[in-house]
Amino acid sequence: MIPTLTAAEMADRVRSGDLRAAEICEARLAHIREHDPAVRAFVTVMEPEALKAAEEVDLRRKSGVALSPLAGVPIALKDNLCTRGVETTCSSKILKGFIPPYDAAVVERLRAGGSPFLGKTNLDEFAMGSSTENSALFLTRNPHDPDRVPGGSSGGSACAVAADFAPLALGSDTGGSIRQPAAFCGVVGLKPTYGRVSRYGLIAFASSLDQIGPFARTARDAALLLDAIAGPDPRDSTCLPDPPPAFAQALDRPFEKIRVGLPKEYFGEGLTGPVTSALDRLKSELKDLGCELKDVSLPHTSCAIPVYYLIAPAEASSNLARYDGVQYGLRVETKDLIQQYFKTRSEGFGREVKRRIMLGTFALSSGYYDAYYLKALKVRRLIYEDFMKAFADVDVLLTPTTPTPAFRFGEKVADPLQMYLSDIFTISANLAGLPAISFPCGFDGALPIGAQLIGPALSEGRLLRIVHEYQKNSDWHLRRPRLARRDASRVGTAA
Amino acid sequence: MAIDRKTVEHVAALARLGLSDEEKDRLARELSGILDHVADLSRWNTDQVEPLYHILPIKNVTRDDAPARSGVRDDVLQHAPKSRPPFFAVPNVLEE
Repeated sequence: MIPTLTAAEMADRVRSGDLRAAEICEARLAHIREHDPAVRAFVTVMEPEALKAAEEVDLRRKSGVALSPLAGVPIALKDNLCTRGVETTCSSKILKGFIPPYDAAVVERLRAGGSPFLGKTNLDEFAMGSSTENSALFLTRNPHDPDRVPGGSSGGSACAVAADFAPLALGSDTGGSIRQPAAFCGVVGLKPTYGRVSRYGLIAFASSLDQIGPFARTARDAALLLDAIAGPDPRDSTCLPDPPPAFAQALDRPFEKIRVGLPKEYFGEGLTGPVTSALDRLKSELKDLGCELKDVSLPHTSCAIPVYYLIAPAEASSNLARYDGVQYGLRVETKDLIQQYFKTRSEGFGREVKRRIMLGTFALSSGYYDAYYLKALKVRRLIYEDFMKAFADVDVLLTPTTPTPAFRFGEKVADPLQMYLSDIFTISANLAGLPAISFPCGFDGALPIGAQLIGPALSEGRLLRIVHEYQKNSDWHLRRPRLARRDASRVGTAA
Repeated sequence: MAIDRKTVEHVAALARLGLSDEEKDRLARELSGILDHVADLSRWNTDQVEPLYHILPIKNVTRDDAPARSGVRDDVLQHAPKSRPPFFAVPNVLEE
């Protein structure tokens, strides 16, 4: 019974006393022990910490203290979020053994609200990748098909929700790293507006693009988690000062007529047949719900990947300069300090991270800055203006989240450009700072298909309400994978 | 644009990144391919376009310049690769 409960239901039962938080937590941990050896969503399982937090919630309830909305609901955290006293690896060798002395802002808020943390989830090293194959630790398998990738970079968090290890998980999204794995794993994934959620304690990748957001099975659960993490934080100067609205509470407000734009650039060649038909069906279902569909154009869509692969690596090359072996993480000892930097970074970073540091350093280097980095920033504005023009006519945009369902292990690792292109529909929202949500809207055989809604800045509430309304009238989000019990090393390539 | 080995070595030195010969050759090839792809941007005239660094309408935020205790010094030093409390330890950078 417990595995099929949503986060909202778990929270209600803990509050009413029908279930103890410790029971819920123990059941999830048992499920993880049984099935995570095949999926490998977790880098670290925080069993004792989670149980202790759950027991504290039960004590608080007994003593009559009012519980916060997510008290007792277990959650999985992407391993690029700092957790006090618990190793935080970013799935990189260079951070192996790094034990943060502080919590990320989102972790701190959830901890105070009584969320037991089940563990830290696997990712592409430093969140750079689209399949979690770039983890320096191990591969994570798509629960719907163990021969396929879970997407990335937040692959472990998407799997944790898809496999019912946790009803909720947090990820980070720089170019699609929440929405693309959500689509591949058949769950809801939301990237909030840039500035909506504090990034204090999120290990930085590309600071003008990174944003933390929720994974969940339902729009309601995603809204509850966003409620818990959104809001101003003086420790992150890019965090907006506006207090956020109550997202979960607004879900059941009457559903007004919404104008949904269909950007033609997102429905062209490259989509597989099943993705096209799932989106066609979704369009007519949205019409039935009272949405008005309208064709629109975002003419600079094809620029998104080139712009992103200049800006994100440029920012990354600067952010990752801090890994020098002096203060924390890996150090390769040499007699000379400069040599120590070279050796530590050479051994500590994986192939994709080196590639991006090189690309970013090049784009920022003297003689190339104007032609590459500055040019990308200018075209970024053209992409942003495309959206502003579209939102003069429509309330949200509907697109596929990805051109294809989950691909096989090894299919794209040899060619970095092919891997980059799998983010083709998700990157623009990061460049323009807009909120965007992916939700399941069909299947291709055993493989989930995701649809994406992109809205104007601060329109998370609208996105969540549309998905909530859709989920009241569909059951794609309730289709669960049949989990294997076998050992993960049997199939596919090894990291 | 084509990136040669010399450029790779120059950029790697700027990034303090040690690379093997095999890595240098591979990166020269891969970066050339990626830069060919991004060259597409030159199609768009941006003479009159201001760069967009980020989308927030907010200005830089400053806090009071007041000293405060972090309270985590010992924790931090305990997890450092090498320390001589209250300092991080690094190889000698001064002439003997």
